[in-house]
This record gives sequence, structure tokens and C-alpha cells, in this order.
Amino acid sequence: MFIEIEADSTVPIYLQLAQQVIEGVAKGELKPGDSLPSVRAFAADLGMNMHTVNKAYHYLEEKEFIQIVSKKGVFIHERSVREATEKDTDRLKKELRPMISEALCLNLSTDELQALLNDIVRDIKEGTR
Amino acid sequence: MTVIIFSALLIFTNTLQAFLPKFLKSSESFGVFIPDTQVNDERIIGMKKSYTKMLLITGNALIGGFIFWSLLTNPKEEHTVFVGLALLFILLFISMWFYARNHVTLIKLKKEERWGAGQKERKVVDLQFREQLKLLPNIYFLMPILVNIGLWIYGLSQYDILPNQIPTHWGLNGEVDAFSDKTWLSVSALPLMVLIIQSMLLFFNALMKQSGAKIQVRSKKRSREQQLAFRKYSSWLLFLVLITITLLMGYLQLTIIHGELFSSSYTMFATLAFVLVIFGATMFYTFKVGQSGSRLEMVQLDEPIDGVIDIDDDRHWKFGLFYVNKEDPSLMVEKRFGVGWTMNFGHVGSWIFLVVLIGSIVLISIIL
Repeated sequence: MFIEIEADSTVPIYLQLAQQVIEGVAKGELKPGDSLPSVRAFAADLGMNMHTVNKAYHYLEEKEFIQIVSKKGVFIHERSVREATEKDTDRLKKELRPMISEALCLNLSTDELQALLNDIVRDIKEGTR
Repeated sequence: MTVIIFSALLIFTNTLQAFLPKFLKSSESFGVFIPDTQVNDERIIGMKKSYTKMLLITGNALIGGFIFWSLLTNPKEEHTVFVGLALLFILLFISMWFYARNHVTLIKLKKEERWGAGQKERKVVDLQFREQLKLLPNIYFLMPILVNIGLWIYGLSQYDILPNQIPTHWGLNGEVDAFSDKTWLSVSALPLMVLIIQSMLLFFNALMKQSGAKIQVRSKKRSREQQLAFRKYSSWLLFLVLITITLLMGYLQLTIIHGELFSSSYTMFATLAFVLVIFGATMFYTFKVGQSGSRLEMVQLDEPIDGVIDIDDDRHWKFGLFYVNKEDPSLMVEKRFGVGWTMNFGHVGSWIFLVVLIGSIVLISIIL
């Protein structure tokens, strides 16, 4: 699976990395147990600092999307696709809040928001971006 | 004889240098990153053509003069060697000069006309690249090393029966033309030198695995396949060099121990075979594989995309020749103007490697 990083984006690079890995899992392109490149190899491919990759991996590990097994490598977490726990839902709620606020400022109705949501879900599943 | 060898060598290196732009990716010309929107620019194509023409004209004129001079004055062998070597450096300098001129012109053009403006710069990574990469395992490289160490020990075990003068240099005709007094060190010199070269080749193979893949955003699938193939062939080439060097040097080691079993014509034949194999392999690597495998035909085609280009990494390439990137953990990177590999001079590991390599070679030559 290819990951594409935009250099001039306002989204930090580590977040771009992490978000694309999560999208890969959502699409099913990355399956539980699949291995990811080592921090060094990933950073070399990017031509960027290892710190950036480390940050992305820790972000993903915290959300239980990947598992870092020392000396063995980095793997997509067995529980990367799971029933949301209370903790997961709380976190999503918190992270969605600023987006929803922005939508409310733009006078989007709940229906319009719902349509937007359906659009995005379809996009992810059908593999377009 | 010397004139013929030198002229052949000079014509070969000069011609290869002249046609070099032909074997390189279109996304990098004269050490400058060229965005996809500009790769078919007539001016760049013209620059490459005139580079080839200028190098062929000046180079062949100078080599012609060299041949003419040697026919006319019939110089001593050492004079021919000296002038021939000087000419090699002059030709190198001339090619560098034409390279530099084109490099500067291209940088200026790119800046003035703002090539790639309005395009989004993207860096592509393939998450499965390392899994699909098929380099020869490092363990293969250990076997010739063991053979060399075996011959080294064998040489030392025969110390008492060795002659008092140990050969240290062979001429083009296969005859020994320099000797050293017999000491434990002079008996070990050849295997030690071979060991340094072998370790270097093993080290390169190990480093290649860690080297960053450069996947192009507009041809992700094609460039990935080409990169995988390029690295595979690079690994094979390293292994072939390792095997042939071990064989040739192992042979020489045996002639030192059992001089009576071999003749100088065998040595000449072995050397010639060595040169031909290395030459053939390098030609295949340059012509058939090309820079980053860009000359390999690929069936898999990418859907065309607009609006995106690769990241401009000119700032990491000094003069378009030396890669200096402190952030990049790669020690070995693909050459930008040439087919092959170079080092990341922004990485402290590259400097340690160079110091150890040069240091050990200098040390051996001083002790001898």
C-alpha cells in the first residue's frame, strides 16, 4: 500500500502518516497482523527524520491500531478492527467536536451533516480520496 | 601495447561519460530535479545532446593527439603511462566542466520559469517495499570471505617453505614485477587487502536494504517495480564482484605459495577473464538496468494523474553530485548523475566508513 505525504500541507507529517495507515485499515488494505516498515526504513523512504515516524507510530500505538514488538517489528494490531469500547467512543467524540463546531458555524443542518458522513464512508470503502 | 591499452581505456571512459545522460531518469538531468511537467522540455533534450557531442569531439580529439604523439616520438613506457593517466584526468575534468555548465543553466531556468509551480509536491512510500525487496542474503557474502580466510591461514601454515621474496605486484603480462621480504605481514598482505574489499561489498549489500526507496508519484507502480529490480541487480553485481575478486586473488595467493605450479600466462589469462566478467556485468547494469532501473521495460502501467509532482530535493544535493541530508537515516543512496550508488555525506556513519576504509588501506601500504 502506498502512502502519500504532502510537504506543504498544514497537517503535520506524522499525522498524515498515521491517518493514512488508519485509512488503510478501514479500507481493508492493511489487515491485522500485517507488518509495517521499521522506523529506520520508513524514515529512509521518506528521506525524513526518524523522529517523525516514531511520533506517528506512538500515536497509532496509543490508539491501538498498531503493535510495536521490540526486536520483531511493527504490526497492524490484532484489535485494529474492533467493537468500539467506551474509551474509543469518548475519544472519537472529543476529536469530532471541533469539526462539528465548524460545521455548525457553517450552518450545516444535521441532515446535511449526515449526508456528508455517508459520502465520506462511501469514499473510504470504495477507495477514492 | 601500453598505448593501445590506454587509448582503449580512454575512449571507453570518455564515450560512456558522453552518453551517460541517455541512461539516466528523465526526472533528474545534470543533477537537477526536473518536475514531471517539464520532462519533455526541448531545451533539456538539446542540452543532453550537446553534452554528448561536446564530450565526444573534445575527448576523441585529445585521444587522437595522444595516439599521434606516441607514434611520432615513440616515448618510453613510463612517459606513455604518465601522459595517459594525465589525459584520463583531463577528460574527467572536461566532462565535469560541461556538467557544471549545464547544471547551473538548468537551475537558473527552473528558478526563473518557476517549474512545477501550482503542482502539489508529494512524497510516496510503499509500506511493503522491504518485504518485496529480494536482495541476496548477507550470509552468501560470508562464504567467499571464509574461503579467503582459509587461504590466508593456509599461506601462514606454509610460511617455512615460502621463498624469501614474496610477490606484491604483477605486471600486465602476468609477470611479478615487485617483491617484499618475507615476514608474517607481507605473507598476510594480499588476504588482508582482499578481506577489506570483501567486507566493504558485504557492508554495501547490508546498507542497500536500509536505503530509502524513491517512488515517483506519477508512476508509483512502475517506479516501485524498477526500484525493486534495480536493487536486486545491484545486489547480484556486488556478489559477482565479490566472487570474481575472491577467485582472482585466491589464485594469486596460491601462486605465491606454490609458484612452481603456475605460469605467468595463466595469471594473464585469469586477470583478463576477471576484467572481462566485471566489464560485461557493469555494461549490463548500465545499459539494461539503468539508473534506478529506468531502462527496464515494465508492463504494469499507472493511471495518469495531474496536479502532483515529486518533492524537489535539490537542496540535499550539493552540485547535484553529493547527497547531504542530516535527517535521512540512509547511508547509501542512488546516484543522481550516474548509474550506481553514493553515500549520504550528512550521515556520520558515512564518514566513519570512509575513514576506516581509507585508513586501513593506507595502514597496510605503510607497513609493507
